[in-house]
Amino acid sequence: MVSTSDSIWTKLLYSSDSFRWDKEELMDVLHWWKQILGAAVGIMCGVVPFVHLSGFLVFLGVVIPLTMMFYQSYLRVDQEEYGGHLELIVDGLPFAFGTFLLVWILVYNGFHDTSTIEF
Amino acid sequence: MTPSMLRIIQMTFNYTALVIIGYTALSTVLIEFLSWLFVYRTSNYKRMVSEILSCGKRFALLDSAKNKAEKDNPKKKKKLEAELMGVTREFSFRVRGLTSVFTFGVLFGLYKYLSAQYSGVAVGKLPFHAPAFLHRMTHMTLEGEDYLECSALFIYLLSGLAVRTNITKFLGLGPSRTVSYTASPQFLTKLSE
Repeated sequence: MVSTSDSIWTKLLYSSDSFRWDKEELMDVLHWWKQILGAAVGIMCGVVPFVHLSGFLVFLGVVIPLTMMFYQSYLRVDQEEYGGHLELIVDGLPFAFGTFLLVWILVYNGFHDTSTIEF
Repeated sequence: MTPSMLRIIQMTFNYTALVIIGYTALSTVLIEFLSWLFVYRTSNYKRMVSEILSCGKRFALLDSAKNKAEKDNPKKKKKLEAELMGVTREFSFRVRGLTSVFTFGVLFGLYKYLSAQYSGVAVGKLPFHAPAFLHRMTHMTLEGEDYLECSALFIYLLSGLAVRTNITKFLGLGPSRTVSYTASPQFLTKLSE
């Protein structure tokens, strides 16, 4: 049986039921997963563009379900062992939201004519 | 205004925002370097971390003890609690206290610099209407009532949330999540239950 001492990359690339995740490892992986998703959603919202409330709804509608699918279906972790769905989803979400907002603003201003600002 | 002037204005806005993000990244690296130099590489810090982890492991063993007498042994719990409180107090003072001083110093200096440099400068337009209570943040130092305008300091705040967290996590020099949790008041409360 594979132990927690296997590298994170092995566990990520060859996801299996037999892998055992250390809580700290799992939370780190989920943190980076949410960061990547936040940035990707920010780029998408900036390019399309999604504006006002729709942008926030897209963020929540993409990040939360995809995070759940990632740890349940791909990593195959038993969420009860690691504090439940709430802890796995909420941990690091505000920082992912910050990344999303920053990327959304930058890409939106880069791709669209927003310059009615007077000097 | 010609299309090329428009493009230059757009790029200027994004350039300013990227400069601010760059400053935030550099300041984070500086904070982490100072913290590593004066705190994380010291033998005191390593000793405190190993003591905290040891207390956490002993608590986990006590908590998972099958024998109820062993699990609820008040003497052992009290001793563990006293030990953890002592090392946590020292950890809070020497580690958290000192790193907070570096963090506050660098970030406050950067905030003052950015306030002076970019006061009244709109970095871009927000793709959303910020709620009224956030206008002081998004529209900081800007004049007028176009609340879609985004101030440089709001970009600075967002970069703090996004960039600083990720750089700190990537460098991984500070205490791990387990150490931070075991040295927290929540764990001590759990211990004394």
